[in-house]
Amino acid sequence: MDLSKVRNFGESMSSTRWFILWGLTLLIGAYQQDIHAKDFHPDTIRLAYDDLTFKEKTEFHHTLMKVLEIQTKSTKYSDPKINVLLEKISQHNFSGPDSFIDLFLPSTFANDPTLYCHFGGWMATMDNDENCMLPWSRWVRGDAEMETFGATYEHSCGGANLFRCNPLIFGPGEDGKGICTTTDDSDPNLSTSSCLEDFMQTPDALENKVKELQEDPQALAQYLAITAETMRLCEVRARKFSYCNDLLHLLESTSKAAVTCEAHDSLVSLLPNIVTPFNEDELNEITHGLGAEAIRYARELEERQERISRENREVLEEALAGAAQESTMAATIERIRNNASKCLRGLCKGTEYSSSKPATKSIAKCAAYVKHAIYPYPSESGERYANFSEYPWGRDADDAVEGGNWLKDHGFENILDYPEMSHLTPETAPPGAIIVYEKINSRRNSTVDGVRRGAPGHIEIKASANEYISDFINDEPTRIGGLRRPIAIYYQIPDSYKERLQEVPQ
Amino acid sequence: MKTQNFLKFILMMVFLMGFSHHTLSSSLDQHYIEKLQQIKVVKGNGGNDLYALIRESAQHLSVNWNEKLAIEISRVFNELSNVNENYFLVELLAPAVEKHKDKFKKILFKNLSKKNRVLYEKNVEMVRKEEREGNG
Repeated sequence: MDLSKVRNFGESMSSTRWFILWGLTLLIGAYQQDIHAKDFHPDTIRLAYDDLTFKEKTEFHHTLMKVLEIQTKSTKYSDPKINVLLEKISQHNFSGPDSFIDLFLPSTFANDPTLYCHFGGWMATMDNDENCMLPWSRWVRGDAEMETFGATYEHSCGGANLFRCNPLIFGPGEDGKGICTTTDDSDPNLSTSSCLEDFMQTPDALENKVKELQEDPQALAQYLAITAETMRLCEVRARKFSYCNDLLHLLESTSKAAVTCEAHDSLVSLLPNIVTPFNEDELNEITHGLGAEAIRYARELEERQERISRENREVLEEALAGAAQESTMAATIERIRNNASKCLRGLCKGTEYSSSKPATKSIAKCAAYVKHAIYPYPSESGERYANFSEYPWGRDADDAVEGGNWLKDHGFENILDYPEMSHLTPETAPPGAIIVYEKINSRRNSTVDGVRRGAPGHIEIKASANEYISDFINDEPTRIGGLRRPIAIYYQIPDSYKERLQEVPQ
Repeated sequence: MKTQNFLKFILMMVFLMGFSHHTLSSSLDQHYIEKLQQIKVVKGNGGNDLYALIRESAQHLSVNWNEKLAIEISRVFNELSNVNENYFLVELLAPAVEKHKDKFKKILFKNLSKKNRVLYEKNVEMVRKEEREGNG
């Protein structure tokens, strides 16, 4: 596709047509945002699309690719949504000679606005004038997508006209950080050619590089990512970048030699991090079809992860559903409900109450009341302790915010630590939960699980749907309008349920 | 000439920023006042939504003093104290009390009933005690 025509066309378009195009783009954007929306009618897109002229369709495709690219960028190329979108559009019968999928997708890369350029082995982005940006510039180094290609430019050679070649491509050099080559370090062509020349003069450079890549699948995946992007770049910008022929020859031959059967399994698991709809063909070419296999692998892995997570969630939900009925917790709930109107063991000291108090009024002893409910004194029912020295946590409990420390010692687990249950809140947690809050804007802090939390905080037991009990009974979680923030929700999960949990593959 | 234009631009920007801040804070004052005015009687124990409104209003008042807003907050807090005597509720007013101690407390005490004034003082002491000694 002649890119200059596309650009000229864009400049000559009337504002009305631009308006139509942006409308369509927004439509596609909305479709992309809510791909599962049942009420979306694909005919809307087709009708609007059919009304466009060929040139407008070309520009539309260009814009569509931009939208898709933004999506892939936002998910760091890990989200298969872009593929899903393309599949969905195909399924909606946008086929035939005039379909934008058939018409434009084969030339996707030619209009892809995120072509990377090559600068001495480092991948870099291009500015608006299509000049390759310096690999040490903050725009390039700060670009999160550069992680795909390994380390960004570092270790300056410390002199004018000295350039540090990327060690991933051109080997470690004398100091192990990459060859320092003498060149005009502002010119991507000269820098790259100079790196190439120095590399080829290094004895056994190619053999060593292939061996090094075979031993390090992570580095090999990054090398392949650079190779694939360079192939894309050189296909459409070979004239601009004079290093293309020699560099491509080096990259392609090294990649093909390094991808062996031994590396197959580890590569398939690493490639999903680098493969995109834009470089899939190139990756397939240099890895003998591993790109497509990697996508299949990623999809299968994702499906397996989803299935196991769903099954784990069902097991945990089943365990939590019965938490309040479990005999020990049921007794604890009963006890704390009764205790809320009592003055326990001198805890009302300093208040206007002596033996009883209103059940809905707190005396700032929530942690003590929760402790007494879980582990009652010998004179009360439940577990028995001969004296205070044997009593868990001493006579008084720690601050509420530190409740997790003693709850964990006694078999309770923070359910929010399970990814499948991290959505739970004090409101949605099934009864039987012990909820711990930190205090916001507190002058005092405590360290809990290595994190500094506002003390003394609050702790309460969710006794039923609208019953949160500590040293008083509240009909809603004690958030105090945002002044207490929930940090943990504890349950005792029976071993019979924990044994049923499966490890989620990563 | 260029310098003069630049200075004019900077002055204009400073003025506009100041003006927009003033306009924004005034409209927020009004927003909180209107919200609080809608509360005539507090039902149940108040609830987290009401607590959040009082806390946010007091927070706003701490940086944008407005006597009318201070009166409304105090009035609603008095209504709340009539139905919920829990000590921690005084924390909701803390930002305004700490920033405008004399000014705000004067208005607060004028709007609290005698019983609620005593309760307020007692609860403030309880919050201090809890922070000092913990709640275990």
